[in-house]
Amino acid sequence: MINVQYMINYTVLAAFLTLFIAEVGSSFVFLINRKYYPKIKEFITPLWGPIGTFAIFYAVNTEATYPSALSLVGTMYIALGMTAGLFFILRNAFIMYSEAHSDERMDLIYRKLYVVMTVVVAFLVVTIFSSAVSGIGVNVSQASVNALIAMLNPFNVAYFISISLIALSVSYVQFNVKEGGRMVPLVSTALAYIIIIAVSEKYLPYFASALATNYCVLIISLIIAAAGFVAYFLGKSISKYIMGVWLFISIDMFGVIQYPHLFGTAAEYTQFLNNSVMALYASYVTAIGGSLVAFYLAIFLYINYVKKIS
Amino acid sequence: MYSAVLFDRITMGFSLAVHIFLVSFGISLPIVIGAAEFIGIRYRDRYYAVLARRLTTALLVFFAIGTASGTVVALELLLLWPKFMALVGAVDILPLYIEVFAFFTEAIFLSTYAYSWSKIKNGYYHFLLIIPVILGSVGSGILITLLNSFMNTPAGFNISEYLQSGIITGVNPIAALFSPSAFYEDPHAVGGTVLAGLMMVMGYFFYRQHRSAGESGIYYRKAAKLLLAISSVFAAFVIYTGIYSIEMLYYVQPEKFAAFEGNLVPTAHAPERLFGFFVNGKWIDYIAIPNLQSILATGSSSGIVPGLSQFPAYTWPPLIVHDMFDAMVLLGFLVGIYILVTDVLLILGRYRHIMPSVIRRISSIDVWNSRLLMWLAVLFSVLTFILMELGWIMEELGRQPWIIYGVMLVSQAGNTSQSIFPIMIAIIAFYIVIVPFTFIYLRNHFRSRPVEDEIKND
Repeated sequence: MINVQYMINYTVLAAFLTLFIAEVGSSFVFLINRKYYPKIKEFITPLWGPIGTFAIFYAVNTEATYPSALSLVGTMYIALGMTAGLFFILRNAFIMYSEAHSDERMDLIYRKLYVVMTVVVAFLVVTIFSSAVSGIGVNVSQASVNALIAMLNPFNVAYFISISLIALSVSYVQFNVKEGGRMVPLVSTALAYIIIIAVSEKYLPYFASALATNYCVLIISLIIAAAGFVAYFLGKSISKYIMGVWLFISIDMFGVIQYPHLFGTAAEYTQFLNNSVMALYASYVTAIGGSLVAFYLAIFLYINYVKKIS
Repeated sequence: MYSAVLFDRITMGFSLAVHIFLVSFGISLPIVIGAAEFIGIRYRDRYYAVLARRLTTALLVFFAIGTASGTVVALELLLLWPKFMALVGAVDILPLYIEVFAFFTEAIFLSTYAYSWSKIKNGYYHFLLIIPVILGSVGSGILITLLNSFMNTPAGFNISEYLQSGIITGVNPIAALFSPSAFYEDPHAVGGTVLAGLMMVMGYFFYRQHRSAGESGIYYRKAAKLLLAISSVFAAFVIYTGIYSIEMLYYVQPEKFAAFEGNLVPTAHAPERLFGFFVNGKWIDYIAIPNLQSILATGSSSGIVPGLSQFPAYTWPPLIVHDMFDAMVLLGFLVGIYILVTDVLLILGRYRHIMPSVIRRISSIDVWNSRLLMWLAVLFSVLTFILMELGWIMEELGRQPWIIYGVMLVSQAGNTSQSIFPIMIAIIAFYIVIVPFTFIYLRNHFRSRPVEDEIKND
C-alpha cells in the first residue's frame, strides 16, 4: 500500500514537472525555428510565474512531508540546489526583460538567454531528481553528493536526454511543429521510453523489477500516449491536452514504481515522514489550497488561453 | 578552515536584505495599481489608467526577480539551516505551506491581470483581478512573518521535552502558527514593508514631476499625489503598530526589550536612554529622559522594566541593537513628520481661500513646485528603505544567539558543509549585478515608451 503523504508529494512534483517540461520543450522549439516564437510567447508569457510557484509548492510540501530528511537533503544538495536557484533567478529575469522589451532585437537576445537558463535549470533539476532516485554520486552515510558524478554519470545523462525527448515531443504536438516531419514526436517518445527502460534495467535493478511487477502502470502510460498520438495524426487540437495529461500521469506513475526507495535502495521515504498531527493539518491545507489553485487555474486558462482579444 | 555557519549567516542575511527590498515593491505596487485603475475607470482619468499600466510592467519585473529571490531564500532556509527547517517542518510548517497558496493567488492573478487588458472589455472586471494579487502579496508577507514570530516566541510543542531529549512531542500546529509575538510583530512588519515600497516609488514620482512639464508633468503629479495619500494611511498604521509592538515586547520578549532599551538591570523609574556607547560594562554619552521608559512600558513612572541581568550572559544579543533601535525610532518619527507636514500643506493649499491670513502665508508653499519638498521626498524614500532594513536587522540581531528563541542556537542549526563559501560569493556577486541591472533596465524601458505617447494612445 503506497503512503498517501508520499503520493500527494509526488503528485505535486508531477504537476510541477509537467509544466516545467512543457516550458523546456517550448524552449527547444524556439531553438529549432524562430517562426514558432509568437505561439511560444503566447503560451509561456502567462505561465512562467505559476511554474515557478509550483516549484516552491513542491519544495514546501517536501518540507511538510519529510521534515526529518531536511537535514540530510540540505547538507547533500546545497551546491546543486543553490546553483539551480541562481539560474532560476536568471531564467525569471531574462524572460521578464524579453517580455517587457519593445525592441524586437533585444527581445530575441533576452529570449535566447532565457532559453539557455531554462535548459540549465532543467539539467540541474533532473540531476537532483535522478540522484535521489538512483543514489549515484550520493553517499548517504556521509550526507554528501559528488556533484560532478551526479551530473555526468551515464544514468543522469541518459535520463536528461530522455526527458528532453519527451519535452520535445510534447511541444511538437502542442505547437504543431512541422520540422523533421510529423513522426518526430512519436519517434522521440518511443526513444525516451526505450532509454528510460534500458538505463533503469542497467542502473536501477529495483526499479526494473518493480516495473515488471507493476507493468499495468506502463501500459496506462502507453495507452494515453497512444491516444494523444492518434489525435495528433488526425489533426485534433485535443492532442496537446492529452499529451499534457499523459506527461502528468506518467510522472505520477513513476512515483508509484519508485516507492518506497530513495537514493537507490539506501533509504526509504517512509522513514522520514512527518508526525501525524502535522501531516493531518498539512493535508487540510493541501485540500483547501489545492481546490483554490484549481479554481484559479480555471480562470487563468479561460482568460489567457480561451478568451479572445476583444 | 573557516566557520561554515558564519558564511551561512552572511549568505542568508544578504539574500534576505535583497529579497525584502524587492518584496517591498512587490507588495506595495499592487495596492497602487489597484487604486490607480479604479480612479482611472471611476473618473475616466487616462493619467491614472496609464499609471496602472506602467506600474504593472514595473510590478512584473519586480515580481520576476522577487519571486526568484524568494525561491533562493526558500532554498537557503532548507539548505543553509537544515536542522532548523527539520524542527519547523515538524512543528510550524503551516505558515510556509499556506504561504505557497497565497503566492499562487498572487502569481496566477498577476499573470492574468497583466496580460488581459485587451481581453476584458469591462474595466471593473479587469480591476477585480488585481484584488487577489493584493490579497496574495500581503497574505504572503503576513504568513512569512508568522514564521519569524515563531522564531521569536516558539510555541506549539513540548519545548522542555525537546530540550531534554531532542524528541518533538505535543505538536499543536495552530498554536505554533499564531505564536504570542505574531499579533504585534506581523502588522508592524508587513505595514512597514508596504510603506517602504510606497515611499520609494513616491520619491521617484516627486522627483520626476518636478522635472517634467505638460502631459507628463500632470501624470507624475497625479501619481505622486496618489502615492502620498496611500503612504499617509500606511504611515499612521505603521506608527501605531510600532508603538504597540514596543509595549508588547515588554510583556512577551523581555530579554529583547531589555537589549533594545539597553537595560543592564531591572529598574524602576527607568529613563529613556537615547543612543550612547557601551564601554567597560556601562553606557556612556547617552541622552536620558527621566522616567520615560517606565511610563511608556508600564504606564507608571515607578514601573519596573526588565534588565539583561535577568538572563544568562551568553544569551544576550549584541548591544548595538540599542543604538539601532533608537535610530529606527528616530527615523520613523522623521518619516511620520515629513508625511504629516506634506499632507497638511496640501490640505491648507486646497482650502487657503477660507484660511486666516497667518495660515494662508504658510499654505502658500506649493508642495509640487518646492525644490526642498521634492528633495525631502527623495531623501525620505531612501531613509524609509534604510528604516525597513534596519528594522529587520534589529529584529534578527535582537534574537541572537538563538535561531529559535530558547530552543535552538544559530550555531546548532547551520549547515557545516564547506561548500558554502563559493556559493556565498556567487550569490552576493550575482545580486550585486542583477539588482542594479533590473533598475537600469526599467529606466531604459520607460524611457523608450514616453508617458506622453501612452497618454495620447490611451
